[in-house]
Formats: sequence, C-alpha cells, structure tokens
Amino acid sequence: MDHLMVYPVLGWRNLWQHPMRTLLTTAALAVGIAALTFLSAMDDGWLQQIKTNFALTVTGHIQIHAEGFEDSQKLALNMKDPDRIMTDISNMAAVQGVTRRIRVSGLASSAGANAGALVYGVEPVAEQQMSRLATFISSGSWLPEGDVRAAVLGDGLANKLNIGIGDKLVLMAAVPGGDIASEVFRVRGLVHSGVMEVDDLIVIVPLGMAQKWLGMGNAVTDIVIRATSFDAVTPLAERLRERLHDRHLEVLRWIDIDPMAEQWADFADAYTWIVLAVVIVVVLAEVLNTMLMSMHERMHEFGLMGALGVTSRQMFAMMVWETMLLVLIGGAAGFLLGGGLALWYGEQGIDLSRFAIAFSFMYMDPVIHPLLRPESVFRILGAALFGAMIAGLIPAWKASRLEPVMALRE
Amino acid sequence: MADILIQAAALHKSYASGDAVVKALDGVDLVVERGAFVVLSGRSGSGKTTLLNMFGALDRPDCGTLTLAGQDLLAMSAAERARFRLRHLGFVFQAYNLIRVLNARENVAYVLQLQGMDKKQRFASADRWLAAVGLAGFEQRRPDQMSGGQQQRVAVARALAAAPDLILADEPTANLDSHNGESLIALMERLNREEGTTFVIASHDPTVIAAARTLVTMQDGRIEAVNHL
Ligand SMILES: Nc1ncnc2c1ncn2[C@@H]1O[C@H](COP(=O)(O)OP(=O)(O)OP(=O)(O)O)[C@@H](O)[C@H]1O
Ligand SMILES: [Mg+2]
Repeated sequence: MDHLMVYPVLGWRNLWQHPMRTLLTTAALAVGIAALTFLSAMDDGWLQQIKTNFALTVTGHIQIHAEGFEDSQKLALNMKDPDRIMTDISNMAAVQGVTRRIRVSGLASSAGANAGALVYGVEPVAEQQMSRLATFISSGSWLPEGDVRAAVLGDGLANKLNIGIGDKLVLMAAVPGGDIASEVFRVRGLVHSGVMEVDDLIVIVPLGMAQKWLGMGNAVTDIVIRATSFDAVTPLAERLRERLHDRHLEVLRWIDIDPMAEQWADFADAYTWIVLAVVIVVVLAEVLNTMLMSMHERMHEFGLMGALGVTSRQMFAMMVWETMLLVLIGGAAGFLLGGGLALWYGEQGIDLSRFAIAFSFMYMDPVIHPLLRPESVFRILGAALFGAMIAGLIPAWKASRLEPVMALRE
Repeated sequence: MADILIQAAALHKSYASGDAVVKALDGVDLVVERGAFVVLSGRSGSGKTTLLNMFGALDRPDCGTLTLAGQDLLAMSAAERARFRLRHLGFVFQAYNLIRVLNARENVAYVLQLQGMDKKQRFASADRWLAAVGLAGFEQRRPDQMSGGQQQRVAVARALAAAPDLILADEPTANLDSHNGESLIALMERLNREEGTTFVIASHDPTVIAAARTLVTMQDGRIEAVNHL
C-alpha cells in the first residue's frame, strides 16, 4: 500500500520546485474553472427560470387526463370522479398543489365579432397557487369569488372581439354528446402574458359554470399538479403512474405536453457539452505546457530513476499524479471562486434589464439567479480531471519511454 | 576458484556520428570476480562509460555475450532489466545522483521502497547507511543543501543500502576537490573490504587509479591491459 504514496508526494514536491510557475498555472486554471462554473450556474439558473415560467404559465408540472385526451382533445374523454383521484394523490410526497380544470376549444363572440378561443374552466382560488395566469392581469381583476359568470381573457383576444371590462361574452363549444352549447359570461379582467398563444386565445372561467354549460356534472378534463421542485417532476410522474395504473388515465409531464420544451432540453444539453469541452481545452492549455516544461527540466532525473530500477509504469504514474495534483489545486480554487460567486448572485440576482431588448423573449425575466446544481459542478470537475489526464498522459508517456542512458547524457 | 560476477566476451558497440561510425566498444573481453575493486581507466572517448552502461544493463551491445551474477543480460526485456538493476546493481554517477525533491534519508530509502521494504525498516536502514558513509545528522537535508561530496556519499549509501551484487561508478570524483575525492574513494575501498561488495569504477582520476586492485586500461574501445595490483 505505502509504495503508492510516493507518487503523490513526489508530484506534490516537484510542483513546488517552481512555486511561481505552479502558482501562475493554478491561478490561470482557477480563473478558467471559476468562469466556467459561474457560466454554467448562470445557464442552469436561466434555464430553470425559463422552465418555471414556461411550465407554470398555464401547463403546470404534471397533468392527469383520461387516457387519450391530450391527443384527441375530445371532451368525452373526461374524468367523472376527479375528487377521488385528488384525494388519492394530494398527500403524496413532492406534491405541492393539485387543481382541476376543464379545457375545451370553442368560439368566443361579442356583440360584433367572433374568434376561436381556448377555454379553461378553473378553480378561481386554487388556480392562483398553480399557474401564473392570475399574475398576468393587465386590467380589471382575476375571477372574483362567487362571481359565477366572470371571465378573464387574453388581451389579444379582447382586441379581436373589440370588448373590455364589464362587456358581455358568449362562449360556444361542442358538449360531450356532440351538441353545441353556449353560455353567457361577463369580462372581469384581461391578461397579458407576453406569450401569443395565451394572449390571443385564452378565456378563463370558473370551473363550476364551465361544467354546467358543457353538461359535465362533476367531471373535468385536467388534474393539474405542481411539484415541489423541477427535479421532483419525473420521479413524481413515475410514482403517479404506478399509483393510478389500471384506471385508464394518462400522466403527462409538462415536457410531454409541449414539444417546445423538448427543444429547450436539447439546447441545454448542447450548451452543457460545450461548457465541458471548453473546460477540457482550458485545462489542457494551462497544464500541458507546464508539465512538458517540468518534464524537460527533469530528463536527467528520469534517467537516474530509470537506472535505479524505476519502471516505465511507475514513471508514468508519477507524472499523471503530478498533473492531477496541479489540476486539483487549480480546480478547487476555481470551484470555490465560481461557486461562491454563483451562490452570492443566486441570492442577489443579476439584473439584465438594461439589455431589455434581448430579453423580450417570452419566458425570460430580466433578473437571472445563477443556480449551482451538484450535477453540473460534478460534471465540470469530471471534465477538468479528464483534461488533466490527457495533459498528464502526454508527458507521462514521453517520460516513460525515455532510455535511461540517453536521459543521463542530458 | 573465485566466484565470477561479470563475464563479457567480444562486446561491440558502434555509434553513427554524422557520416562516420564510432566504435565505442571494439571487441571487449573481461571477467570480473565477486568482491573485486576494479577501476576502468583510459583517455576520454576510450569507451569507459559505454562499457559501464553495458554492465549496468542500461545499454546493449551490438554483438557479444554478457552475463552478470549468472544471468544473461542480453536476453532480458527492458522491464526485466529495470527489475534486475533494482535487485542487483547500484549506481554512482558523476553528478546529480539524487532526486532533488527527496532528502538524504528519502533518497536512500526510495530504492528500498521500490524493493518492497516497509517504511520503518527502510528509514532505519537508510539512517544506518548514511551514518556508515559519515553523514549522520544529514538525514533531512535535501540535495541542494549538501555539498557535492556529501551528495556523492548519499549516492554511495543508496547504492549499498540496496545490497547489490555490483556497484558501478562513472567518474564519481570528477566534480569533487581532491580532498573530497580521496575520502570518497577511501570510503568505497573500505566498504568493498568490509561488505565484500564488488565495485567497477570508470575514472581517469589518479587518486582513484591509485586505489585500484584491478586496473583495466582501455583505448579506442578495446582493453589494452588488465593489471592486478
Ligand atoms: N550516444 C552516443 N552517440 C554517439 N556517439 C557516442 C554515444 N555515446 C558514446 N559515443 C562515442 O563513443 C565513444 C566512447 O564514449 P564513452 O562515453 O564510452 O567514452 P569515455 O571513455 O567514457 O569518455 P570520457 O572519459 O570522456 O567519459 C566516444 O567516441 C563517444 O563520442
Ligand atoms: Mg565517460
């Protein structure tokens, strides 16, 4: 066992033979790793924000429907007894909130105009804890409690219909049996989310009235779940599927419901790989040169060690160790710096509203909170060590191939 | 009949230098007995280092035969030669004999560690050998904190601690003043007598030549004379 210890010790001492060089190399490494750690945290924070904004604008984290509803959007595919499902799942771990909705496409009409609409029947109070819809009110108010005919609609749709607060609105849709039913509502509020599909299309009405209008009794189309965190979504969906299997229900995550989310995930992946590649390049650039210099200075010593009976493999191990140590020192300093900055700014937020034009992009807030995710940190660490391996292998390989006689002549 | 340690026959080694071919060894036959104290002398370029490197399993001849401690050196792979050096040979070079980041004790103990000795034992052994070469109290010194003579003594201690069959020294006194040179060679002589370790030393230093019990004179890659003194 103890013969293994000699290489870290030799490596460590050799590094400090040239304190200035080692410090410069580790400082450069630290700055590089710090910047990349911070960038990665920015990216994670930004993505988290987009995902949150996206998922919680309307969709929620997880939705339960009658089997086939998402594909067909047919009202006939509904859940007759949502209360039972709700009680079954509401006290599951990682469930923060559950609400019910009816989702139906229909026609909205005012005194002078018609337009296609996506109607949501929601629980006025519970919905405020679920989606961000209530926060987008641009004039008037959210569905007032007890006001059964209240409607909130997207400001774009209101424009098309040429109506405002207090005006009458008629909604028409096909009921489960196939007939067309209509109902009268009164506009109480307008929402502006910045998302076109929402602002130009959405009408929000109380669930009870929607059920009555569509003749659905107690039935709903969506049970919407908010999880305690994003990372909890996928495992929670798994557990829900287990618990609800055999009941002809579908359990869909937000990313299953909106295909756009998939693209974001891909984008995030690509970005991660780029960061990791840059980490490796930074490590290589900083370390390879230092190690080659260190090796060339020690040709004679390698020859001497070879003459003493140190094998190529041992020589190889020594150089790899030395490189690893160098990268660990620089990497640790970099992580502390970058991680510290990420945590600090995670609290403070970075206000980018000065660059507001670039952020008119719909799901972004102008203040970014960097997020230090353990996975990202470990990935960067892994990439740094991988880079160190490569940077170490080249001089190590050269050192291990030296002929002792040749090296001794240097 | 004395025990034979090195048996070399018809060793040839040529180097191409530019267009010319230099015959560094041009048919060397030599027998060295166990316990001998051999000095290889001869002008610069006569092939002393080349021959020493052959004995040290550091280099291979173009042709010829060479056995050491009963083993055919020329049949060994590079890894086998490394292991052979570790078990059977000790080296003292002209200078820079030590690993600069290790102190005197660690330099001596390093070889013992490679041989697989445990830590307590090898440190004790290192200290004993440092004392034997007159360096008690210098255990913690790094090479750059010791004089050239002291560094050479550490190298001798290291070579002896490994209990080798043969110690090879190439110009061990070349970087030392005459006083240090004399005391180093006296040390080697004493250890040869007391421990029975075989020494082959390449040198043109008169002090070293004067200490030889077998003096091998080389010229142009050949052995010109072998004198038992
Ligand atoms: N690697 C090599 N490449 C080319 N020529 C070499 C090489 N090694 C040795 N020689 C030549 O072989 C001859 C013998 O060299 P060697 O080093 O054995 O001499 P030496 O007796 O040790 O000399 P010195 O007393 O100067 O150390 C010399 O002419 C030398 O130039
Ligand atoms: Mg020589």
